[in-house]
Amino acid sequence: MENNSIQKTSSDLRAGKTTSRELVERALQASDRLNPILGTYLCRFDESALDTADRADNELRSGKDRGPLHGIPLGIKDIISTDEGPTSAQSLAQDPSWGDQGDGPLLQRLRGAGAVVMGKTTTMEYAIGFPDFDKPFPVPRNPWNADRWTGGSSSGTANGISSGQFLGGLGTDTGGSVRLPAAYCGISGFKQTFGLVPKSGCIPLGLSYDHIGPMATSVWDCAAMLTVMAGSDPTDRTTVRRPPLDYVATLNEDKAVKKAGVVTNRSLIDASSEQMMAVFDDAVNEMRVAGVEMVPFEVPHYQAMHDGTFIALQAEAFSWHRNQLRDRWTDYGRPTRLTIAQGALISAGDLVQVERVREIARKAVLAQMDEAGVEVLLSPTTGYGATPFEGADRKAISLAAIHTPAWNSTGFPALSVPMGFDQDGMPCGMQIIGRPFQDDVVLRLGHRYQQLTDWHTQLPALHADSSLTE
Amino acid sequence: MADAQDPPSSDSLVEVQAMLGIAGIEPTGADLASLGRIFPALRRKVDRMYDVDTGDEVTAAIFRAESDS
Repeated sequence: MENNSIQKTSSDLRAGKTTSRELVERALQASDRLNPILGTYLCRFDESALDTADRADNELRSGKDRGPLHGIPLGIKDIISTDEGPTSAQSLAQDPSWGDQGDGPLLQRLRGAGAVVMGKTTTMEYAIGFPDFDKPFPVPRNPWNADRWTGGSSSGTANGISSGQFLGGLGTDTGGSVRLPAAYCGISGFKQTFGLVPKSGCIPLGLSYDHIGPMATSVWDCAAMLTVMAGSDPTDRTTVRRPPLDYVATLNEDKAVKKAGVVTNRSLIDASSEQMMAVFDDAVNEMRVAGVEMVPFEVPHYQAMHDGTFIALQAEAFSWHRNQLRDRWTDYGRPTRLTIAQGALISAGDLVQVERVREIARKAVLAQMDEAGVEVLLSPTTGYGATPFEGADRKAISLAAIHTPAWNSTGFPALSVPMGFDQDGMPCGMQIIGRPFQDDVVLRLGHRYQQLTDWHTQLPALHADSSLTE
Repeated sequence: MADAQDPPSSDSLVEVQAMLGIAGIEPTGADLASLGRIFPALRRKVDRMYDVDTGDEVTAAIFRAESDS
C-alpha cells in the first residue's frame, strides 16, 4: 500500500484515486510476499474481504459514505471472535467451537462503519505466552529486522500495519500488549480508558485489566477507529455509559495540553537503556519547544501497581483456564502454562488485597496529578528496542515491559507513538498517559506530536512498497 | 513480569504441588520444579501488597446488584 495511513487512503477513496477492491488486492499481494517472512496471519479471509470491498465501493459510488473506515482493510488479533472463521488464540488447547459465537459488538461496529476484515492475526498464546518455536504456529517477526521480536501480544496486528499488509487493526492490552508491539514496530497504539470499549467476543486474559485497543500508523487513524469502537454495550457490564465523542474532531480543538509530568521513577529509568532515555529526552524537548511545560513526576505506588497487575491477571486468567489446564496441560505452551498456573498459588485474600491496593494507587496518582497541575504523564513505552530472538530470555522481555502494566491497573488511557530509533535502527515509542475518560486529551497531544515529527511515517525494510522484499 | 527465581527448596515444591493439586493440576516434573523456583519470588511480591496502607479501602471491583443480566 503506497500510503499506510487510513486518513490519506480514505481521502483517496473519496477522490476516486483508488477503490477498496484495489486496496484489498494490493494488501493480499503484499501478504503473499510478506506473511511467510513476518508471520502476520493465522487465518486470511481473502474471499469475504474482496466481497466486502466490492460492497464498500458500490456504496461509495451510490453516495452512501460510512465514514473514515469505509472500505479500509483491518487485521484482527486472533483472540477476538469474528463471523468468518475460527479463533485459535494461537493455542492447541483452545476449543475451536468457542469462535462459533461470531462477531462481538466491536466487530459489528467496525463492519457497520464499512471496515474490511482481512483476517486473524498472530499473537502470543492466549495473549500471555512468549515467542514459541515449539508449537505449530507462525512466530511473528519485526518488519524492521526479522531477527527480532515484534513485542506482544498483539504481534501480527502490529507487524501487519508496519509492513503495509493492512492499514489498521485491533489488539488487546492487559499489561501493554497494544502499546509494546506498537512501539517495537514503529506504529501508534492506544489503550483507551477501561470501560470505554466493550470486550465481549474476546477471550479474556485478566478480566478486569483487559482492553481491546486500536492500532494504526498514526494517532489520527487510532482516533478514527476509537470513534467507532467506543460506547457501552449490555454484553459487557464493565463498559461505562458516556456521551459519544468524535475523537477525530477533537484532535484539532483549541485545547492544547499545557503541562505534562515526565515520569522519573528510578526503577523505570534503571530498567531502560541510555539510548532509549536519550531518544525520550529528545521527544520531551520537542514538545517543550512546542509549548508544553514539563515537570518531573514520581508516580506513587508504581511498583505495587506493576506487580499487582501481574498477580491479579494471573489469578483472573487462572479462573478462565483452570478446567482446561487440568485436562490439557501439555497442549499449552510451556511459558503459557507456567504463567497461568501461578494463579493457583495466589489466595483469594491476596487477590482482594491487590484490588484494594489498586484502588489506593489509582486515587494517589490522580491526587498527585491534581497537585502538580498536569494533564498527562510521559514515559518511554519500553525500556529497550525490540528484543532479538537469539539470546532473548524472559527477563529481558519482562524488563522491556516495565513501563506499561501499571496503567492497566489504574485503567487510565495510554497511547504509544513512535519517537525515534535506537542504535540498532529499531523503533522507540513514547507513552502518553492521561486521566480516566480524557482519551481525547491524550490523543490530541499525540496528534500534535505527530504534526511536529515524521517518525510515524517511516517505513521498515520489510514493507509492501519496498523493493527489498521482492 | 520479572520472575526472580530462587533455587527450588523442598518446602516450596511441596507447597506448590499441594496448591496445584487442590486445583486438580498435576504438572510434569520439570514444570513443577520451575514453579517451585518461581514461587518464593511470587510470594514476596504478594507479601509486599500488604505493606501498602490500605486502611478501610474497599476493592476496585465492586459488585452491583443490577436487574439486568
